Amino acid sequence: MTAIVISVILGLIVNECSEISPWCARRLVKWSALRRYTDPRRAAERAEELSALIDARPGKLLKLFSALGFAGSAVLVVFRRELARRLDTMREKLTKPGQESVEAFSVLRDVEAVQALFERSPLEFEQWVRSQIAAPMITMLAADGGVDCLTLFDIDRTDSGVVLVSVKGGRIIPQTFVRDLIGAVEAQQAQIGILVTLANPTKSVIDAATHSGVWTHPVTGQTFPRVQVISVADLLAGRRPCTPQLITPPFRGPWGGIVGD
Amino acid sequence: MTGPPRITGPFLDVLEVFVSALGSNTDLHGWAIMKATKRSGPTVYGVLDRLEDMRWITGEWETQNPDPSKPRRRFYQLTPTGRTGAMALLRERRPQSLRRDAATKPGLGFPEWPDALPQGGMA
Repeated sequence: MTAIVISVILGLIVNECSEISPWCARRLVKWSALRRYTDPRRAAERAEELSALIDARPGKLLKLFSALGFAGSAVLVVFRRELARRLDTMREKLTKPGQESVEAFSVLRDVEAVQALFERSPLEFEQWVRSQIAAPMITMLAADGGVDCLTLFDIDRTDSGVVLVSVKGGRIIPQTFVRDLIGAVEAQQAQIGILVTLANPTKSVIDAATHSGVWTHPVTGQTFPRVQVISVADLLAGRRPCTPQLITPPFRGPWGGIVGD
Repeated sequence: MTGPPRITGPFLDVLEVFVSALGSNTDLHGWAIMKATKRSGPTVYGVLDRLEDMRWITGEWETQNPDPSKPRRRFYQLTPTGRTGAMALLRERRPQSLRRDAATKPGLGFPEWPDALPQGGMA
C-alpha cells in the first residue's frame, strides 16, 4: 500500500516538474540573455528570440537542458568579463603616470624594432601589420595560397570587393610570393592582393607585381594595382596600400582601439 | 566583440548554412541553424553575434509566429557584404561545400571553382 502511495506521489512530482520545465527554461534563457549581453537592445532581442527557440525545441526536459546550456555559457561570459575588468583595473593601478598611452606596438618606429617583433612572434608581427593597414580583417588560420587575411570594400550598394593580404616576414622575398598571391587573387576571384614584406622587395618582385595588371572599379572607373607589394619601411613611412575605402564595421581592431567607431 | 573575428569550425558551419539557403527561400532562425549545423545553442548564437557585429547578416522579426500561442521568431539573412565575404571564405576554406551548392542549385550565381588552390607558406 505504502509503495503504491509513494509511486503515485513520485509520478505526480515528476509530472509537475516536467510541466514547469518549459516555464523554467524560458525564464532561464531570458535571464541568460540579459546577463550575457551588455548592449541592452541586443539583450532584449536575444531574450525574446531565445524564448522562441526554447518553444521550438521538442521535449519538455530538453527545453530545460537547452536553457541550462545558455545559462552556463552566460555565466562563463560574465565571469570572463568581470575577470578582464579586474585585470584592467589592476593594470591601471600598476601603470606609472605618463605611461598610459605607451602601447606595446606604438614604440615600433623603425624596421629593426619590427624585425625584433617578427623574430619574437610572427603572429604579433602579422597583427602589427593589420593595425597599420587599420582595417578589420578576417584571419585565415590555414594560410592557403599564402593568404593570411582578407578584408572587404563596397563596390556599390549590393556588391562588395575582396582584398587578400599576405604577410611575409623573412629576410628574402622571392618572386614566388607574388606569383602565389596573383594565383590566389585569381582563384578566389578577389579584386586586389596585397603583399606586405618585412624585407625591402627587390626590383624583380616589384616588376612581377606591376605585371599583374590593374583592377578597374566598375562604378568610379578608378584603377588600382591588382597586386601590390608594400614593405614595413613603407608602412613606417606612412605609405599605405592603394585600395578603395575598406569596410570598417565597429569591432575592436588589434592594438588599434575600436576600429570604425 | 572583444577581438578580431577568428575563423573557427562553427563559424564556417553557420556560414555554410547561410550560403546554402541563398535563393532557396528558406527562412533561417536560430533553431533551424542549430539543427542544420548540429551545434549547441550558445555556440550558434556566439557566431550569430559575431556575424551581426561584422554586419554580414541582418535579423528581422516575423510579424507573428504561425502558432499564435508561441513567441515570434527572428529570421536572419546575409547582407551583400556578408554574401561576398562568406563566399570568399568558403571558397578558401571549404570549396567542396560551394561545389555541392553549385551542383544542386544551378542559377544561383555560384561561380566555377578551381579544383586546386595555389599553395604557399605563412609569414
